[in-house]
Amino acid sequence: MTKEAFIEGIEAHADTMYRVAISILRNEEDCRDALQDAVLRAWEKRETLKNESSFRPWLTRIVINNCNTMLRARRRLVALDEVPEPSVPPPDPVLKVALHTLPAGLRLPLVLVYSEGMSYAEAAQAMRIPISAVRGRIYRAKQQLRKELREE
Amino acid sequence: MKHVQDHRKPTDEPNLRNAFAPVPPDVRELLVRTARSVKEEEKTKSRKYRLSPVLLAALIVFATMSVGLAVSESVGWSDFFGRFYHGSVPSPMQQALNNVEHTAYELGPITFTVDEALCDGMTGIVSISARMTDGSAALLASTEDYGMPISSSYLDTELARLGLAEGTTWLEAARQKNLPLYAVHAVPQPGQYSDDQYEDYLHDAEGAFVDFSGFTVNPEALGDAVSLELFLSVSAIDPETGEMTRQWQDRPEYTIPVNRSILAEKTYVPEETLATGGFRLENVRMELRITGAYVYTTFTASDAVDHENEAWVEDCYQVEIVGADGEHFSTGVSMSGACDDSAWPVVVLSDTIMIDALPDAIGVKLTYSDETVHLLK
Repeated sequence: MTKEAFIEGIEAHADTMYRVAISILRNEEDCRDALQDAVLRAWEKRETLKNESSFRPWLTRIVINNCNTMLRARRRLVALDEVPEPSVPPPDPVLKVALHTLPAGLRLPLVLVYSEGMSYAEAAQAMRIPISAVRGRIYRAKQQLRKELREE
Repeated sequence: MKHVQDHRKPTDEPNLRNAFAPVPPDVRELLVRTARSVKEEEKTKSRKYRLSPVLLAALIVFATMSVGLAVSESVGWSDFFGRFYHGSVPSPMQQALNNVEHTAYELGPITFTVDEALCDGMTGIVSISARMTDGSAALLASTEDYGMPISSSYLDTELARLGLAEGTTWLEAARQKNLPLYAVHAVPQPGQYSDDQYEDYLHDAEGAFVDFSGFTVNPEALGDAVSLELFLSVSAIDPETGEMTRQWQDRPEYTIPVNRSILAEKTYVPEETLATGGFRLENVRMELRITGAYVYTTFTASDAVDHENEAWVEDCYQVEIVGADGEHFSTGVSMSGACDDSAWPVVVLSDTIMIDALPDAIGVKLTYSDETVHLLK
């Protein structure tokens, strides 16, 4: 992969990277660290990308890995009152709250498929779980989200 | 590079993108600037996270001792399903959970105890509590959340027990209460038995941390028991800096007996032809195990459905199995479902629900927007 193609890919998928990271970390400052590191790791591991058409799930996988690593061994912490609130709230704050009540294992496939428009195969590739597991988790996540929204 | 279009947004469903604030422009700029900074010819070296010498010195795995401690009153799976999913655990499930061997493992200042565990041949669940071995007061947070506000995302009681203001972080709580803070994690690793897993936690009335994990299992790979590795971790956290000052980890083995008993089975057939999208709903089969019912909903796709276009699953996913009175069933033990299209045009959706006995009749709602309950007997 050329540097130009890599930059273009990062530019095209920066928003997806951010939404995936914030879904896992829920902390903007950590997201910046995790994503910056993910870009560097992606370049370092670019030879493992066999097919450029799989760039997005491949990159998302690296983002998920980085975020999970950060969650598991968060070594630098930012107190929440030091984290700037997003300058603009989400268009649907109720949906945001409902989404975050879902366990991470259900939330992430829902975000990949319904917010980021990934195919089930891409989401499975990004999460390294079988497509059937993605389908199953989405099925359960949607049922659960629907209940949460009804209760709001 | 190709962009995949979002082709799955039924109009009566919320647009999930609206749950996210706009991406801060400086994040996009940061990422592009980082991408531009890489060297074409050289491999980049990943940034190293700062790791304090104290932590490096403490990254020693301490041997654990298996000790026979009595289990004190703790929150269990019935609390988990009750608080998260407003469901109640079937009585055979509770009996099986109570029969577990309460093995305890001492790790640093913490004792982990397997409180409840079972495997019904399809799903395994384990709850492991963590308490201070010497009974002293301390705050026990999840390794994932110890930098976050207490109970920021879970239906937990810890904030109320401590009498702290909403939004107080674990670090602030440790400072305010002058208590030691430990980040703990206790999760089973079923390895080859499973391809899907979930995890969450609660605290009990005394502040003990209880980790709840569930995993699907491949019934064909199972014997009479599931042998697991339990990943146990404790980190002492400096409340002033948030730095880990010491860490202990271990991976003891634990075995869960498998109870595959099928207590009852019933296949429910629609009283009328039920079709949604290009699918006809053939039947719903329920299999009652000790954990509740496994529900298998069978559809047949018409020739008009394009199997290659994944959008077809949306038609199936809209179908909701409910009680004959239209009431929802409580979320079941697997917390997940599956969609098997290997026998296309036949598609089988599977899910689990919490019930003690199979009902005589059930209902089905075909779409998100239609609340009509169609009966199956």
